[in-house]
Amino acid sequence: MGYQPHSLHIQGEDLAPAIELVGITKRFPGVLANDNVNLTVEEGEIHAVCGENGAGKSTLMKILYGMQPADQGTMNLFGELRSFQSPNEAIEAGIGMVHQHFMLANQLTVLENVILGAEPTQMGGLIDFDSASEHLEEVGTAYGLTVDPFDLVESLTVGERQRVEIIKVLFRGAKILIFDEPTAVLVPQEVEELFRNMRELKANGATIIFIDHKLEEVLEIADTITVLRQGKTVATVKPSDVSATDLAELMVGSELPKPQITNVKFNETIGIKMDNVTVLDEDERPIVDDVSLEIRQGEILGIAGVEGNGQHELVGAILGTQRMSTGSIVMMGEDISNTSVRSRRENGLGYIPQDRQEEGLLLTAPLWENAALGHQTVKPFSGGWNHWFIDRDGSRSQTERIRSEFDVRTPNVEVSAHALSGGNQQKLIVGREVVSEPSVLVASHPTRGIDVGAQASVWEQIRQARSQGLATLLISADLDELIGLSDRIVVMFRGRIVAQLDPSEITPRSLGAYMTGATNQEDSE
Amino acid sequence: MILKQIRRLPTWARWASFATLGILVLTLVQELGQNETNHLTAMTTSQTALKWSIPILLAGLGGLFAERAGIINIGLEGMMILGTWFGAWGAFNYGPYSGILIGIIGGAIGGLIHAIATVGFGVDHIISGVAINILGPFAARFLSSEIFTGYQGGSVTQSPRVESVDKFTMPFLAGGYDTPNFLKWLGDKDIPILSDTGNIFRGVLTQTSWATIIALLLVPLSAWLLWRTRFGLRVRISGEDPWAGESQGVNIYRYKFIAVMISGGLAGFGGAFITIEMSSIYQEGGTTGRGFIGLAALIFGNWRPGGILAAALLFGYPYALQFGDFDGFASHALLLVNAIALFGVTIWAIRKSKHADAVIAFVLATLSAVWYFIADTVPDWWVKILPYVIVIVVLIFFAQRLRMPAANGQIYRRGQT
Repeated sequence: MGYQPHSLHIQGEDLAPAIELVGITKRFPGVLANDNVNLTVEEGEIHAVCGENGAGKSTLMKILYGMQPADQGTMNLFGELRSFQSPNEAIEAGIGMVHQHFMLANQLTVLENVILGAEPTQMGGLIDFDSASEHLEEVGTAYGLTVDPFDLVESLTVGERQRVEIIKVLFRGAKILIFDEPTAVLVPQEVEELFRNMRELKANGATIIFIDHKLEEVLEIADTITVLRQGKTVATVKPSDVSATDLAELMVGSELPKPQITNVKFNETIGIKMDNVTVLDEDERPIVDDVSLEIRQGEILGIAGVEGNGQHELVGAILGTQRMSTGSIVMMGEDISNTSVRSRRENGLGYIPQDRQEEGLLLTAPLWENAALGHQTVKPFSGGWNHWFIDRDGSRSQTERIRSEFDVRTPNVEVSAHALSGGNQQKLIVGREVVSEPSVLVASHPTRGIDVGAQASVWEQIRQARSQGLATLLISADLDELIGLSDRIVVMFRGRIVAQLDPSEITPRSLGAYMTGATNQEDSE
Repeated sequence: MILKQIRRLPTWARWASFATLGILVLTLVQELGQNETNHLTAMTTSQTALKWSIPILLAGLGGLFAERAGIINIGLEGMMILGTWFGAWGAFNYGPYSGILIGIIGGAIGGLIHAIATVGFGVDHIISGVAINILGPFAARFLSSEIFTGYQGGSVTQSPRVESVDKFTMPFLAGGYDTPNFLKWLGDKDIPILSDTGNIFRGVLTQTSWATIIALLLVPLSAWLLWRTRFGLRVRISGEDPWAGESQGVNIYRYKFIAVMISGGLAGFGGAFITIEMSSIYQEGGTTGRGFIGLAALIFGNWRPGGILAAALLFGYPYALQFGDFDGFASHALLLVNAIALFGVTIWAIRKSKHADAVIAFVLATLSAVWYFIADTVPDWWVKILPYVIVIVVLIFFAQRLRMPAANGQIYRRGQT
């Protein structure tokens, strides 16, 4: 298919749109996820769908992709009324989904992942690997996506995995591609690569639906933008007609908060100091390599880095869950290198884990039990001899306090944690760490996957705690958040600290270059 | 450095090298012991060892299919017990070949129950497996009391005698079909190593049951099925990342269901093999935990068919040794083999700088060696528990860095990504 932008566009006016969703409504118990949503996507365009978390973007896409049925509404595909019972039917109709969380089996090869579900076979169900790999390479070269079909997926970088996801969809002959928050896992350089690929796809005649909530990206890549808010379509606009601020207001319905920090002069007391800390992995290779850091009271130190470069293990070393092979950690003047997790926590170490559902909460336990997690050995959560007994009344009233001070929206503190939305779960965790008045706080991805409102409230809490003299270690993949909140940023790459930066002088782009190892401070200075 | 060289060889040559190394050690130990026993490399030993390996192999392959599809099958033992009963019933009424087939069906019924519970209802795999392990023996006893008590020679705990399937002896190599017997000639020559090797192979090739041959053929067949066919790829995605499979339109429930049924069928085959080929009757408790040992073989074999075969042979060998070892000399000699193997493990652990492993292996090796040198023979009970001891020791050292299917044991529900 040749690249004919003008004729395509003119044809697009006359022909039926590629996708036309009319009056889509979807209810979940207690939630109206989609409320009479309309979406029209012309053939050959990049159509962005944006909105806050919980605005109903994912539900809408799941309906389109046949993963969930709609309660009401109709779907037209190239002017034809359709409805899909399963992803298979959507795939057959030429719709492909590039998932946010990669749908790839790590221990299978690229080829096996790609052909799955549409395996070319000879007699007896024997897979024809030769013709499959030929077809894969044809598809790859046609769209400028290269990857070795016989590599195991686990050996690929994040960017390469995303390429495999795209190839997977094209291999099945998809003409309409849904990208579900594809940039969430990428560093800025990889985002540019992705956008190049998307433009290439468009030039080859593909129609793209792009789900995102990063406004600059949406404005850069989209031809048309549809905004959802609280399950409703708010507006459909052209990027040339709107600014980022306009979009933000459409999404939130009010002004967008920013992670701005007022300059406070911090205390000279050192909250936590790490000297030459090294952590080894299973293969005895250093995963945290000779890291030295110090954070003063009232200071927020941000750690930037592509995930898997030792940040998680560094947090483990501070917390005491990861054994250090060398080095020492001093907290508030006391050497804690060899103390237990419990004593570190009791002595004022707060921790916001990166995965609230896995590490942060017991989803089936009531809120007041969850509020005690990590503080179960101290007042007011326990009492009696050696804090042997749980203080139920104390726990409940403390949880009530967290609930009101941190705006955790819940009917009462007896409901189980999974009944709360992600943002409220996170507010509960932040609340329980902050009310215990720690002297050092480790915050790992504190606002990951929560909506703008909750995000603003978490930022506010961290900022307040900072002004009361808390030493904070902040790890985040959201570079705007890192730059906006931190007083100082260090970059971790392959377990080492490769750069130390002043957030007032850097942009997400320049930070991204450090994170991928493309530049490093020793070279540039 | 020898091991390093071996690691570079192609798979078949690597296994052959390890086998040669094993035979070398066995011969060496017999020579060192001034030939107090030649049982370690005797023809009858390898013959019996192969036979005893088959139920473990079949249970292991059964585990392979289930766990490659992401369903932990701790119920193999229960399914195997169903296989022993149905195998006996089928063989008694319709002959041994039908007996095996009916045993497979019996095991597959167990698999079906496990599949309905774990795949259909999303029950925890361990709970369902334990339930089947409880259900299997009770079902067998109930059926015996209803059916076998009505047969001549049957009771609530056992069936009448049943026939075995036909045997095959390799022509020329082992003298089948009235041809010359090359391996016997080689074995009688008494050349160190060569004659021992001859005896071992003669045992394997003489009077081998067709059921054994079919079971062995299932090893390459399973590998082919799982790694070369569409069915196999879809089974494996069910165990690695079922959500990815679902997103590409694969009906994960179907493949999990089929795989668990195959799993039960293979365990049932193992049970029928015990009844028809080994004990010639159904006996209550006749599986003696070999379903669990099959699970151990699956783990030691790193969830691969070839590895499971190797593990099954390794675990089957000490069983065989206890037959015909009336004086305990052979088991005594095996102490030295164990000591050598454990010293080998010590060196390997030191090189991998796994210090705790090295210390444990060294202590066990020393104990084994000391026992060998201070005693002339070993007690009866030691011979009996040896197979289980070997399973435990092997798992201690080699079950740490294995790679099971990534989503093994996770409860999968459609549409929950």
